[in-house]
Amino acid sequence: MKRHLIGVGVLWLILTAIGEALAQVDILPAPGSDKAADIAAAFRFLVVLAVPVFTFVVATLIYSVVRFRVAGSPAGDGPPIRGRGRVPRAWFGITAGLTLVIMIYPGLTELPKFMRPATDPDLVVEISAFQWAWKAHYPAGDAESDTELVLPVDRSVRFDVTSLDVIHAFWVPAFAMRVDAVPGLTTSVSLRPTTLGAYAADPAYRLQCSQLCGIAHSRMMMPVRVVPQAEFVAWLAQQRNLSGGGGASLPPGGEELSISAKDIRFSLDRLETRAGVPTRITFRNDDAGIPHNIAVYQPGAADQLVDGARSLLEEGPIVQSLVVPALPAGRYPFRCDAHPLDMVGVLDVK
Amino acid sequence: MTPSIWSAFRPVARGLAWALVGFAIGAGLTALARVATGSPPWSFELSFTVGYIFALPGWLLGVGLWERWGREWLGRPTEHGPTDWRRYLTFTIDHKVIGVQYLVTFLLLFLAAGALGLLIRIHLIEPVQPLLDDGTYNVVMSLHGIIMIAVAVATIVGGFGNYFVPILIGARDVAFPRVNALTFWLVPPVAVLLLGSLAVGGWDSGWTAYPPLSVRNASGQVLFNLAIITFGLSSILGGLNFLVTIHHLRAPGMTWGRLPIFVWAIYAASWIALLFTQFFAAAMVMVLLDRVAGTSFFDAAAGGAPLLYQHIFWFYSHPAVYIFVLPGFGITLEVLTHFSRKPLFAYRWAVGGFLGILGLSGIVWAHHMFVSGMPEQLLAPFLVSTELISIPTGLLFLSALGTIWMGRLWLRTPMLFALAVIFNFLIGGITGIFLADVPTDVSLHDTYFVVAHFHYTIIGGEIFALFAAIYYWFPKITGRMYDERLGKLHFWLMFLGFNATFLPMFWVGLNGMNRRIAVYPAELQQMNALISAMSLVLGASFLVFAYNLVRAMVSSKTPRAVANPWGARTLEWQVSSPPPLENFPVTPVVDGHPYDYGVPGAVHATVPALRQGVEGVP
Repeated sequence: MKRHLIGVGVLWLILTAIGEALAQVDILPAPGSDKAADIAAAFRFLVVLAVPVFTFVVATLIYSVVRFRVAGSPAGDGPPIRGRGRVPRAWFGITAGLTLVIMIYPGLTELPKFMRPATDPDLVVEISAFQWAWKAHYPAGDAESDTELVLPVDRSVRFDVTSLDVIHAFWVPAFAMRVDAVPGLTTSVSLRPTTLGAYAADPAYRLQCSQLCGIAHSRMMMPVRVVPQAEFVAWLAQQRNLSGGGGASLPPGGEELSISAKDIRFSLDRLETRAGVPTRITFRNDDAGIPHNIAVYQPGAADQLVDGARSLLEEGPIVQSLVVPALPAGRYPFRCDAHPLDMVGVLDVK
Repeated sequence: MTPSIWSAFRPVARGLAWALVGFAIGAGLTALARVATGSPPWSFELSFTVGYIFALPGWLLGVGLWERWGREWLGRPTEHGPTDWRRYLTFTIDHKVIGVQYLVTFLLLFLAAGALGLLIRIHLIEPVQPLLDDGTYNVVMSLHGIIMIAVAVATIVGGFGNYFVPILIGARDVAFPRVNALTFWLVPPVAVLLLGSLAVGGWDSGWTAYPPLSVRNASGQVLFNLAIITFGLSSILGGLNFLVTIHHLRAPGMTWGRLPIFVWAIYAASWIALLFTQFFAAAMVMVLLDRVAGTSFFDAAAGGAPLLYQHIFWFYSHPAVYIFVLPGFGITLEVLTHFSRKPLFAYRWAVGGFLGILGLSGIVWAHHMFVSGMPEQLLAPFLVSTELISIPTGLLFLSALGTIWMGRLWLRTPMLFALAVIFNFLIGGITGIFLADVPTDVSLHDTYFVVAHFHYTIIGGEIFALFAAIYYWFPKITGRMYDERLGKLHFWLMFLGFNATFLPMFWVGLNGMNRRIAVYPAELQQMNALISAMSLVLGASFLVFAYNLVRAMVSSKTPRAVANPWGARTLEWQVSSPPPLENFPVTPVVDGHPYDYGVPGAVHATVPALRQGVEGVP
């Protein structure tokens, strides 16, 4: 018995040393917020604590299978050890102790940091989620964005999140934080972006829906960009100019088109205009409470917008207009960005 | 005269006919009521729901409930069914036949849902332009989820629980044999509804079916809700039956302290099924009413509360995890002790582990809701209760490790699967800590980390145990031996395929892949392609399994199994393989603990009239 205990003990120590060495390897993405750094620390602490537990069980398994296996069928029984003595009591004590440790840290001590909304953040962003897109409203700058979530670095931000239809979830992988967007409730996430970053360079900078919300759930994404404060202020001012710009005027010699949306369908799936002249599109959203827009993309490139040819996602009933610049002939796909699977069509430029 | 093949299907055909009559009555009444109030007669969701409410009793009565039970209500004699192979297709009251009915049905469903899992993995090889369109993907994913949940709930409990609990405690049948038959015959409508939902667009809200999405999506959702309500009824009745059986039908001398550990596990799981299943059914009824009756339980704009659903849903659906895992761990401990030739280590502590998990199971549900937006003061209590569960779970590990320590390990196929449960469930358990701790959960919630975690607990902790049980009890049920080399090949393919499939999922989860998505960030493609390739190995292992068992069943060269091929001490091995109709000719007498290997002169139980003359009994 003693020989076996020493054997399994040595195996445990070796496996634990290997495990703890491996635990130093960084497998988490680089943290992009103060909370992500705290989470990474908590994660690492749990891994370091879990390794000896894992290796204890694995060492006992491996040692037993190697040393106690019998060839053929067993000739006799093993020793009748019933385990009624100190061993179960000690096991109970140790497992209870370990549980208590993780309950206290990172459990209870870190808890308030994560889920309590900041009362006095530098910036508040109101996020509304809907099938299947996002909209960010910046009350301080009276600005809106539905194509990009831009944030200043090293400023505390509180996101106040709600949903217009079903349950969604606010999640930015780089920030490592999430909260559900629930119709009728405002939930919030507070954090401070700590490094510059942008979706174009790092896909972890994306606002991704992480609660199953219907057909286009996996495409419900908005790029995130963390920029220096000055750049943020400039961007915010620009966004203010964009929102509410309903009445685009038709340049001389241009074409005039109109289209509407009802029951998550466009009234037309094909629009036609002339090459080389600008076109004004009047878009009427007849779906009360459901945000739609119209956006025209380059032929064959689903994510490349025709410059300026996009209206803001807005809840119906509303009338918007936008001017598509003069284009060379071709077939330009258009869609509602919130319903990229159901509301699509082609702008035929001849 | 040999009965024709078709005569075997007569009860099922009659059940279908009565179901159609019931459906017509229900839908007809609905039409009358609607016409009377000036609406069009047919509204799919309402008409179907009411039709189904009438069709279900029609099906049950037609398939045999009337002949075997209902006639008695009018003072008429009940009829007996066939006693040959055709009894597997009838409303039979023999717990062993019902056990086999459950096993075959759910193994077929397991293979079907496994095929859907492979379809998901093949789809995910390509990140941006995958195989299926988004809507189809969501439907496939939802169907895979709920069928596997049903398999996890019912295969071990309904299959091996039904077959072996009565024998293990020295009883001739369960306490309510006809209720037992009813629980099984409630299952085919569940399967028909779930698969039939595809005809009306399926449902895309996952097996969790959160409203408001589940109130707004395609009509397949209604079929899902009806299926869950039906399945819940089956589960509740099954739990009740096991509890009464274990309380009242134990053989003389079968004290609680001598109960085989698998029976303890079924006992704990049955309490969970009895106490909590109705909450899932209630949640389903509320969603159904929101859809067909215009209630607004979950419509925030009309005064409802979407979060209410999640509380009710998880109040069942977290304890349900223990309906999967406790019987799995019961089998694991059972196999470990017999194949280590040692007493079950710390038996009483293991029983304490099962009962401790049972006790805690009802107060941990909201750990699924840490990021749901529920009030902050609920977080700490659920964090604490959830982490407490690792203490009783740890006791099960203590028992497992203590049992193999210094044993005479006989590494036959069932033992390999049981040992694998320890390893797999360890990974499932440890990764669960990261999800129970709120600070790490906010980052990991709804990512592939969770997908990997619950596949490790459910496949690793239960499905591996299921296969341990299949190989362990196959000789007892069929009287034939499976091929050991093919069994081991199945084990290694499944063990390696499983770990190679699900271990990398932790990594993709940590690196920004959320769950339930049809398209994903392109930089995660390599790892996903690897996962998909490995999942094919996992899938292939089941072909080996199916071939092995089918061959053992049909080949004339298959060796016959003796009564006790494993030299095990529990009661099922003291009778012939397969066991006689009523298990024991005379009630067995229990004199000692079931696992006293190595104790000189120890006897667990004797079956007086079978003592001599049964092969394999010393």
